[in-house]
Amino acid sequence: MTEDMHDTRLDELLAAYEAPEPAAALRERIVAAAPRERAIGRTWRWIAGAGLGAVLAGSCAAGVAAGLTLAPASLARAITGRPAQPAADVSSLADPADDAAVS
Amino acid sequence: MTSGAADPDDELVRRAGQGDAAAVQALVARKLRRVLALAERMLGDAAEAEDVAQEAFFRVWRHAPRWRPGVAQFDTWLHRVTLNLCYDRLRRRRERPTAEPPDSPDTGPAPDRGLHAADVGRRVQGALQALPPRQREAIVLCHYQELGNIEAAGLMGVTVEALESLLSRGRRALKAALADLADGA
Repeated sequence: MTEDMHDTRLDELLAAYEAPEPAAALRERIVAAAPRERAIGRTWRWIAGAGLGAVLAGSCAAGVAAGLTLAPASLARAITGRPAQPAADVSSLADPADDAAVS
Repeated sequence: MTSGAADPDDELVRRAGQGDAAAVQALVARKLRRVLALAERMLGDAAEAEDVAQEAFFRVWRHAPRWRPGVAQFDTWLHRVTLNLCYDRLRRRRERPTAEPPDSPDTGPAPDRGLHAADVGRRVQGALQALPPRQREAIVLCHYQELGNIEAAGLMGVTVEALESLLSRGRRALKAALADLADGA
């Protein structure tokens, strides 16, 4: 009995079993689960770069400030272009009465 | 398993792995219908087929960032992943024999001769589901997925001769199951 059916007829019958069309909801679920590493990575890389830049800039500024503070006055004057402040003359602050008492 | 020809999917998979939204959309558009059809015909159940198709793509997304072009054809790999998921489902069905077979497609002759295409489709679905899984897999891969015998045999892990034997037995069983439709009613 089975040989009554030709191969071409079986192929026709098999073709009648059509595949379902994917539902839109399925497609959306699949797409939503796809990797997004690059977009996220790009954001994080930007944030990390900006942060590193800020830290380096802050470190440089702190280094310059520390250098100016600790450098000898002549060097600081050469760098900043401002005249160094003379040392305060404390002799004018002496009380003449004290001198008299000593003598 | 390296093939001589460049895999047309490699570039899409690589870009999808990097999170390229256009590549993701293109890959889904190119492969989802095929994956869903494979699962539907292996399982005979639309809901389970959707679950399998979804899981297969989730695995694609996990593997895409590490996809190495030239190691395997993506389409063959995707078929293998989908079939493995189908066999997991079929195994679970066997382990729970009390569960109602999904959809219960009609395998018997139609009460009248005026069958619509949808009715014939359901008859074929039922006959296909009644086949042993390996015969069904051979028919689905070669007839519906349109794989060549060599590719299908490689996918199934059998020789081409063994595949041809599975195909021959499967087709014979289908002819027997659908014998009342032989004259094109």
